[in-house]
Amino acid sequence: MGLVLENITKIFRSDGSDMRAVDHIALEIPSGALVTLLGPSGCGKTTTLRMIAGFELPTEGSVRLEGEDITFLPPNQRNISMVFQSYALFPHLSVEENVAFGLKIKHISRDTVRKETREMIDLVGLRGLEKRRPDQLSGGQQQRVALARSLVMKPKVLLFDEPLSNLDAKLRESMRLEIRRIQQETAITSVYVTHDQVEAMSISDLIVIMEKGKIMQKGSPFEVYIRPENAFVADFIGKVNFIEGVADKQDPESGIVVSSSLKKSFNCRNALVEKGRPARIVVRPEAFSLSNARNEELNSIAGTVLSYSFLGSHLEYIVKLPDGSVINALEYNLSERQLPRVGEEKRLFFSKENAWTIPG
Amino acid sequence: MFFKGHTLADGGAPLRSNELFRSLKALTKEPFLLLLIIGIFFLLFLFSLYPLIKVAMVSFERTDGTLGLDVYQQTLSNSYLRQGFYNSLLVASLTAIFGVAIGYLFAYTLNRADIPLKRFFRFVALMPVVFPPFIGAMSLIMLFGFNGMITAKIFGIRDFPVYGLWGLMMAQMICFFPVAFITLDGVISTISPTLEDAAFNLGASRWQAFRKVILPVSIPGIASTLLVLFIESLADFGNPLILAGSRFPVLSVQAYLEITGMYNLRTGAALAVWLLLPSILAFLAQKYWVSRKRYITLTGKPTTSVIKSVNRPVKWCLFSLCLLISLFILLIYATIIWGSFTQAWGMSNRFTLENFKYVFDVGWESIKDTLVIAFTSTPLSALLGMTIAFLIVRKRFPGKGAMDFLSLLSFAVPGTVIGIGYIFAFNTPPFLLTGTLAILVLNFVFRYIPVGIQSGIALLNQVDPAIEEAAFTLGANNRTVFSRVTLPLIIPAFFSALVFSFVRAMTAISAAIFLVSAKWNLMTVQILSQTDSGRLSEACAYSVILITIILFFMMLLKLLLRNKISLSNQNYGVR
Repeated sequence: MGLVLENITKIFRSDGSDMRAVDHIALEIPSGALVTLLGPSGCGKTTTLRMIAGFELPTEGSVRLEGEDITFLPPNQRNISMVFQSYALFPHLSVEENVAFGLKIKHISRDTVRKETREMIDLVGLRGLEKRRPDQLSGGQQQRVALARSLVMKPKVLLFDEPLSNLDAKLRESMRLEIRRIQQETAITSVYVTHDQVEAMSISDLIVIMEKGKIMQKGSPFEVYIRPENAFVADFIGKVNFIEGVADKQDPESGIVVSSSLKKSFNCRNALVEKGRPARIVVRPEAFSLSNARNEELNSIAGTVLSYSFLGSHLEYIVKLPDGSVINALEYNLSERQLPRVGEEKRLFFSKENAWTIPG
Repeated sequence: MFFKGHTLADGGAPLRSNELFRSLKALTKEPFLLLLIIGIFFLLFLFSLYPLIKVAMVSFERTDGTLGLDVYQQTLSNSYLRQGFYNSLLVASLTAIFGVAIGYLFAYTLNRADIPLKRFFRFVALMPVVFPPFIGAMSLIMLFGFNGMITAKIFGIRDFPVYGLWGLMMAQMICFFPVAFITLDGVISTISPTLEDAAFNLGASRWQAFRKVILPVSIPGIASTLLVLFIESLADFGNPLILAGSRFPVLSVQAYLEITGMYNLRTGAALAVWLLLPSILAFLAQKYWVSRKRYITLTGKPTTSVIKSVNRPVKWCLFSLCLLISLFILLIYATIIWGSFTQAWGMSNRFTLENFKYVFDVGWESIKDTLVIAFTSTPLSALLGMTIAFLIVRKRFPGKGAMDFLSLLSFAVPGTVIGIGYIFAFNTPPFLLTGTLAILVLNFVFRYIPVGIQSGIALLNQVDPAIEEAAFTLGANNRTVFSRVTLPLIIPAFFSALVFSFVRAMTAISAAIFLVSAKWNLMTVQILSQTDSGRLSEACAYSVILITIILFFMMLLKLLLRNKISLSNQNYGVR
C-alpha cells in the first residue's frame, strides 16, 4: 500500500469551542493511483490533505507512507510535493529557478539540476518561458510551473489542492486532461482535492466523498455515480431525483419499492434496504424517457410539466407529480418536434436498471 | 505603533496534554526549529523579562536580607513620591487626550478635506519621528523659558510657567503626536468614503455623518491610540528631566534621581514598579481588548467617491488649525537649528560656528559610540524581529502566545524601568555587562524588536502562506525557507524595521542613560547634560549633528535600496 491514513482526526480549537474538521478518516491509497477527495467546502478534505503534507498535525491517528509512520515528520522530510490552489510560485524567482528550487536544496550537481529542470519544463510545455517571472505568466502557465516544480522532485506522493479552481472553464478542462496524462506517465501516487464533481469524475481512479469530516463513500467514478450508498453521495454527484417509499423486496437485480403517496410500486435494484424499511429510489434525470411506449419492463409515472428549458442539445423538464414532488428529467435526440407546453401531461418512464435504491 | 490582536490560529487555546505531547514530538523532528525557539525564549527571558524580575526583587529585599513590601508603603506615604505617581498619570492622560485630538484633527483633515498643502502637513506631522524625543522640551525653554526668545525678549516675561504640567504636556505632544497621526491616518484612510455617501443618501447632514458614522467607526482606533500615547508619555524621561524639575516631580525622573543621585536602589526599584504597573495595564488593554474591536470597512472593491465630508467654512477652519499647529512645530525645530548657530542662547545671539567645533572636539567620542551602537544593534534587532514574526505567524509550537507577549512586552515597559533592570541584572557574573558596549547593544536590540515584529507580522499576513508551504514540500527546511523565501518576500518590512530601530537607537535616552559609561557614551546623553548645565547652544549643535546623521543614513539606505524596494513593491505574492 502506498499511503495509509489510520483513523486520523483533526480538532481545531479556538476560544473554547472545538471544531472537528476531520473525524476518524481511514483510507488506503494504492501506489500509482490518483485518488480524489471530493466534498463541499468545510468537509475536511483540505485539512486531510494538509495532514498528509505535514502542515497540520493530526489530533489522533497516524499517516503511513510505504509502511513508515510519517505522522510527526515535518513537511520537508516527507518527500511529498504539493500543487496549490494559488499556485504559490516564488514570486522573486524565474520559471527556471522555481522549478530548480527543490533540486538545488538537495545539493545535486549543477549539470543534473539543469538537465532535469529542462526536461520537466519541456514535459509541461513551457519551453521558451524559462526566464520569465511568475507575474509575467498566465494562470494556466503558472499552474504548469507549479506542477513542474513538484514533479521534478520525483515525490512519493503528489498532492493537489484544488489546482484548477482559479482557471477559466475551458482551460480547466484541458489542464485536467494534462494533469491526468502526466500523472499516468509518471505513475506518481496522487491525492487530489476538489469540490468540482465533474473534475473528480474525469481524472480519478478512486473518488472519496467527504462530508462533515467523515467519508461518505469511496469508489471508482462509475461506482459512486451508479451505486451511491446514501442520499448525500447521490445528491452530490450529478443531478438526481429521489422517489420515496418502503422497500418491499431486497434484491440487487430485481427489488421492489412501494410508494404510498404515488400509489405505485416500482421495480428497482435494491441491494441495501431490507424489506419494510424506508427507501429512496435514485433516478438520474437522463434515465427518464418521455416516450409514449408501453413496456411492462419499465416503471412509469405521470405528471404535469411545470417548466422546461431548451439547452440546445437537450430539453430539461421540471415535472410535477400527483403527490406534489418534483422530477427533473432530460430529453435528448430532439427532432423537429414541437416544444412541450407548460401544464401539459407527460408520462415519465425509467428502467429498473436505472433505478438504484438507498436507505430512506 | 499599533498592536493588532492577531489571532493565533490554535495557539490561543491551551493544548490538551495529549496534543501537547504530540506537538512536542513533532518539534523533535525539527531540531533547528526547536533550538531556535528555545534560544529565542532564553534571550527574551534574559533580556526582556529577567531585568524586570530583578527590579521587583530588589524592591522586595530589605537590607537584612528578608523580603517585604514595606518600601511600597514608604513610597506611598512620602507625599513627594506620591505626588510623582499622581503627576505621571495626570500628564500621561492629558498628553494622550490632547495628542489624540490633534492627531485626529490632522488625520481627518488630510483624508477628508480638500485642502492645499497636504504634502507639507504630512511632512510636518511625520518630522518629529526622526528627532530625539526631548527636543521639544529644549526648544520650549529656549522660546518660553527664563531667557526665552518669545517670553523674555519679546514680552519681557521672566516667569512664564514653562516648567511644570503645561510645558511638559506641550513638549510631549510635539513629540508623540506623530504616533497618533500615523495610526489615526491608517484608521481614517481605510474608512470608505462610500460610508458617508450612504449616510448622505439616507438624509444625514455632514455633521450627522461625522457624528454617527465616521467617529463611531474610528473609536477603536482612537481608544488604541489613547493607550499607546498614555504608555509613551508615562515612559518619557528626557522631557520631564528638562522641564519638570523638583516643582513637578514625575515617576521616571524620580526613579532616576533616587538611583543615580542618592544611590537609593530600593526606593528607585519601587518607583520603577509603580511606573511599570499602569504601563502594563494600558498595554494589556490595548493588545487584548481594544485592538480586537476594530471595524473593517474597506472592501476589495475600489471606491472612488468624491470627498465631500466637509463644507467650505469647516474646511478652511480645519486648514487654519493644521497650519497653526504645523507652524508651531516648525518653530520648535527651527529654534534648535537657530540655537546651534548662536554664541550663547539668550545672552548673545551672534552667529557662530564655535558650537559645532566644540561638539566635534569634546563630543567626537560620543558621536562615534552612538554610531557603533546603532549600527550593531539595528540589523540584529530587525533580523530578530523578522524571525520572531515568522515564528509567530507561520509556526505552531507550544508557548507561542507567550513568545508573542514577551517580545512585545518591551514596548510597554518604560525605558527607565528597563534601564534600572539592566543595571541590577547585569552587574554581577555570569552576566557582568555594566559599562560595556554589549549592555547598550542588547538593550537596544530587545527594546526595539516590537517594531520589526509588528511590521513583519503585518506583511507576512499579506503573503500567501502557501508560498512557504510549497518550499517545505520541495524539501526546504525552516532555515532555507526563511532565508530564501520568507525574507526576500518581507524585505520591505525588514528595511522599515531597520530604519525605525536605527532612528530609535540614535535618539534613545530613557534606558540608555543608566547604561552609558565613561567608555561608551551616547550623543543623547551628552545633549541632556549640556542642557542641564545651561549650555543650550552646544546642546542644539549636538542635536543638529545627530539629526543630520540620521537623515543622512535614511537617505543613503533609500538610495541603496531603490532597486530592491521597487522589486518588492510590485507586491507579487502578496494577496
